[in-house]
Amino acid sequence: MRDFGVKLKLAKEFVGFMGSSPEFRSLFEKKSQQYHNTYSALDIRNAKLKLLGVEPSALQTEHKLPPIINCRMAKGGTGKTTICGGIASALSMFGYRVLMIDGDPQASLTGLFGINWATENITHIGELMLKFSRKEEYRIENAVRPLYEGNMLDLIASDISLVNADSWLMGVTSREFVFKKFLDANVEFFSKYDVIMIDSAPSTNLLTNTFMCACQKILAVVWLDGQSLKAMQILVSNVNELNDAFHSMGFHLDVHIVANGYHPSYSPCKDAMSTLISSYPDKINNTVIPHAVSFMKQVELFKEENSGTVLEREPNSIAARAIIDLSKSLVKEYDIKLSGIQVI
Amino acid sequence: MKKPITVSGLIQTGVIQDNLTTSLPKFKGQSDFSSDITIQIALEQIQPNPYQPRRIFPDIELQELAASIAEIGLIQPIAVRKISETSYQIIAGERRFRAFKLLNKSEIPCVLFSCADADMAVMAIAENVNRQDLSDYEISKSIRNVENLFPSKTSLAESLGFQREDMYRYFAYDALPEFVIEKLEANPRLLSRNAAADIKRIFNKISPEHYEFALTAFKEAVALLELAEIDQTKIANFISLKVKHFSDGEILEVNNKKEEFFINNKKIGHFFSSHKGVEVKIAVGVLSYEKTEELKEILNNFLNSSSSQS
Ligand SMILES: Nc1ncnc2c1ncn2[C@@H]1O[C@H](COP(=O)(O)OP(=O)(O)OP(=O)(O)O)[C@@H](O)[C@H]1O
Ligand SMILES: [Mg+2]
Repeated sequence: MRDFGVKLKLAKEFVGFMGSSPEFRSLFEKKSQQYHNTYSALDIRNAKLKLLGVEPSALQTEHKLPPIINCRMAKGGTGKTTICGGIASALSMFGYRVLMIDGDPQASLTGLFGINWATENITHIGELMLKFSRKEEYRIENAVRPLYEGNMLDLIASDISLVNADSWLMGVTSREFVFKKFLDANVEFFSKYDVIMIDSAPSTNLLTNTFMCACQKILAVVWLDGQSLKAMQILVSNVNELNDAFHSMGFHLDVHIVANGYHPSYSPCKDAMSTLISSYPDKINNTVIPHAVSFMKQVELFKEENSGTVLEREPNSIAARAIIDLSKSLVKEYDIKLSGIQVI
Repeated sequence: MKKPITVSGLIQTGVIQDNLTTSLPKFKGQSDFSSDITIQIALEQIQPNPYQPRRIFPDIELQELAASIAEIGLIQPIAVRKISETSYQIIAGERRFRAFKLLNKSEIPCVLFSCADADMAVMAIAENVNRQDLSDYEISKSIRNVENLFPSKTSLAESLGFQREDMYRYFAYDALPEFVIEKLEANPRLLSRNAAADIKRIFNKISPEHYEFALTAFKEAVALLELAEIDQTKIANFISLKVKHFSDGEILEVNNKKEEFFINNKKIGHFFSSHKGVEVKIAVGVLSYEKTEELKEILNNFLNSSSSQS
């Protein structure tokens, strides 16, 4: 479990509280001293519910799958994992219950949160889906690792053996929808969350396809250079192909785009940006993620104390601000709700 | 702290362009696949498109349409989207819908589309922008109405298929003073977008100390416009000339100077100069035919020599 909280100013912003600081503090029962005057994701959720006049225990969760945000790009190193983890921690700090699924055998999302897949016993999403499709026993609860208190941020971790998923998926009927069926079959479990975030590998294969086929809108993470635009073309044909194949079943996958790695003194990224906005004016998120050292100050893999998203490590950096702004807009874009309550 | 980077900010500051012609392949939209199945929907379940800029549908037109539908049937189904289990919203075809109502029909053939608010707004406006009967001012208002559905003005322009230049002309009404907006509300055809843009440009150029004066000139011009004594395309020029004369130190009276000519204390004509030009009038019989010709020649020489000088 990670011990992460934000200070008063951000906490007020995340709750959306306009009143004075003493008024804000009085929303919380426990003496904040023991939290070094910081507010956890759960604190923020409870404060929001309190302001909405909702008793947390009285919340009735409808058995309905939450929105899914799958970070995708047909190219390595565009920032999928960085942004996936960043958004997940931000949404959680806004008070939403977030489930992250590491869908990449490279397991970098798992590593970002300081979990050593080499030494830990990991049940990944591939194993869960396999058991589900073979009608064997499985318990999702055992695969889920709590990261923030109160199930505010949970992770289904991954390890290298997730590569095997592609070979068994090959032999399954309507394999593109295995993941979707798995979610539907366990809707009671997944409806506990307000949003599901999936980090994908760059490849176009059965595993990445089955994740996409459970989504309404993927989040394409574009690194601002010429190569990434080539990768965009591959993603377009991938998405069009899925839509072509399954539209008669009422399936339609949309795309939302976030531009990453903008640097004002690097002109190719301006050209890339111009091409992107000219090509997809209505699909691009208005927030552009800057090229920032804060993102890179990583993270010695597998060491919990060095790990974490930019919001956790440098909450007041420009990088964290970009992630916060992006995440706020995604609440709207993906219609994310606080246990089914729309917070405006 | 530095300001966050945004797509709209980069476009506004001209760092990036949003109108390159080379572009990446498109994502196919849902309707690119639609197999266009027509279904019958009860009229009472259908609501008009809230973004439709055209609010007035002349009765005659509707009756004609209804008559033709009664005779040959509805050729093209209307396009609707579903907004709840039992209600639909018109994307396109409000006239046909109203004609059906006139005919007391209970249902109408529809094609279902899934369509976001933004697309819906665009379709409603796009359907109307090129129509003769919708004024520029009304279009500008409906654009304003839907503007916040789009991430930027540019993407709005793009969706509507407008040139950016043209888009800004529609937005020019916003910069006009209150009094003329009130007039436009009553008579939307008073100023076209081009006239509005020209006037906005003049007001942007003049210095603050001349503002009141320009406003007075504008009011004067609008009064003339309402009397059909000036063309709307000339208003910008009218204001700018007045302001120029004013700032050159000339006062209004010089401009409208009238001098009368007398012979033996009898008024036989006048000289009058105004923004419309210079007028010399001399009563009948004062000048002989030869004198008249002479005067013409003098004027001709004078005008030619003064224009070759400048
Ligand atoms: N905006 C940024 N500024 C600076 N560095 C960044 C930024 N975004 C990502 N990075 C760095 O780029 C590297 C690749 O990022 P990341 O692992 O998130 O990409 P990815 O798309 O998930 O890669 P993969 O395809 O291997 O899964 C990391 O070292 C990360 O810290
Ligand atoms: Mg990754």
